[in-house]
Amino acid sequence: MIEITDLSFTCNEKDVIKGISTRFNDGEIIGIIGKSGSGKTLLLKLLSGMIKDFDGEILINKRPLLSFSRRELQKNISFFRNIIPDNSEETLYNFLILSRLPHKKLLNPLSDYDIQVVEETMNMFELERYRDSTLASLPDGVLKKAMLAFFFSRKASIFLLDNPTAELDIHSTSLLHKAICRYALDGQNTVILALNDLNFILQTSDRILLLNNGELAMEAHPTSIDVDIIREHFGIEVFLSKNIFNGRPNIHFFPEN
Amino acid sequence: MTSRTNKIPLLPIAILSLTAAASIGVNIFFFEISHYTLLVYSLGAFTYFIYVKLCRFQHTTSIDYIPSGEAAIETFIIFFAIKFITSNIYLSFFIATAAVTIIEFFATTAINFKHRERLFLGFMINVITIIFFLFFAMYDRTFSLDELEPIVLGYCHSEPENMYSIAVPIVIFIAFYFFSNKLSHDISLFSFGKSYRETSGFNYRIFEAVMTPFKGLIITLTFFSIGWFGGIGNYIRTDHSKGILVSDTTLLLILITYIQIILSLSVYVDYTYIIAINTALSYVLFIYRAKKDKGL
Repeated sequence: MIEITDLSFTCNEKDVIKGISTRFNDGEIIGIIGKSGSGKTLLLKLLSGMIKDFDGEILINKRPLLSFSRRELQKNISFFRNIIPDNSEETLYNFLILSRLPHKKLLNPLSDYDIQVVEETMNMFELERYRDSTLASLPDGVLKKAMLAFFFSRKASIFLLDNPTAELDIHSTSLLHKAICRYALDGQNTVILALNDLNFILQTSDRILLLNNGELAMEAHPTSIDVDIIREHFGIEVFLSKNIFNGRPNIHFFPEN
Repeated sequence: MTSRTNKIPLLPIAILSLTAAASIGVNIFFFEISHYTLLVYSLGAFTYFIYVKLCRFQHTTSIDYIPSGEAAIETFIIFFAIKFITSNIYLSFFIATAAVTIIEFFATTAINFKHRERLFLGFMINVITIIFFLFFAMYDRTFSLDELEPIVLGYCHSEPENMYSIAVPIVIFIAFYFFSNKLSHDISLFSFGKSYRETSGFNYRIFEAVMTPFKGLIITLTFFSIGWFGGIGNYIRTDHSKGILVSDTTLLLILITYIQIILSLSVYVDYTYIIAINTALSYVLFIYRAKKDKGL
């Protein structure tokens, strides 16, 4: 569980995150939406412990974030960002297995459980056939899935994902949707997504946080998102339909003519 | 680091071992190269192997020491250290290590050159070195290109009575091999870039602080042992699927054999030709590997 109280962050004398207070429960999937520059990624960076000089308080399971050691942070928080690994000569399997390092002691080998977790994640993202391929030889979409699998394999109790759907085809997006839902399903993990793909976030999240210029403009269930909110915060006219299976909204553009 | 454990491929390793032994045997019995020289070149192959492993851990510098300009810098530094500062081999070794460490620090940590920039920098250093020494040989009558021979063929060989120094690469090799295998995952993560290495929870600044001078030491040890006889190790890919020990043994045997073959050639051909051929080969292999791995 994460509790944020009056979180603010100033960069170049400009308030980029302004007094956010909220709470993320275990087993919850939270979607952060907002225009580009509204502070979505920055909020994730603050939650990940990457940025330490913030005002306010972030508690993880009632313990201040800043009191976590580097290793404890990495065990508890997995933060996916769209950064392509520098080393493209390593095989996919050897890359993925490294995600388990925070769970092993220095000079100790990886355990059978670590290997099992990596195998499961590979299956979940349908990466098995690329196991011995080098990262350089992977198609862009598969490399993206490999990067996602790396952070999923960590099995951290808090999983932050920044723009995870970029470059994924519809099949891979569906795999990601399933993987996120399954990740939060055990009731002990919290998943926080920040992305611009509103349809994905509305179908996946249990709760939506809408940021506007670094402020928490709204906090609501996905079904509460309507055309007025989209118009007000994104400045576009859209129409919504409902997913008949879960009642959540789907956003559509009006045809040009 | 391997995904599966398969049967050890004994036949290829046996063939490689026999080839390495045969190349050493030819140099002993046919070319009558001294035991000391052969020993230093063999140990040089070990330190060169460590250099290759370090480059793989630090992916951004996986250009071998000839195209990266490190061999040329070593040549410069040792030449000037001997000519103007000291004739003591240990002191010149120390100066060379310090100089390469500083350059390595700027290249990998402070400026963080990318592959292409590092290659271009190395090329420029090599060209400047060649022009400098040719110019020096043409216009300074007190200097002859022969003075460079002991440096570029491995400066260790100039002091054959100094057997104690041989223990240094052995100790480093054993210690490195033990720790590199134990820490292979941790060091491997280093090569994936900042956003990945931070995910281990380990303070990688400590690693960087140790790795840079260690690499400087290894480059200098390699250069003092084999001079310009290497330059290909970073472009050899060995099969990891049979286990790290098999892969490492294969690479080491290839390096030993290659250095012994070059050594055999150096008996008949002038050292300048040998170095020219080896440098060209290093560049050709680099381009081949870069094209194959889409690295450039």
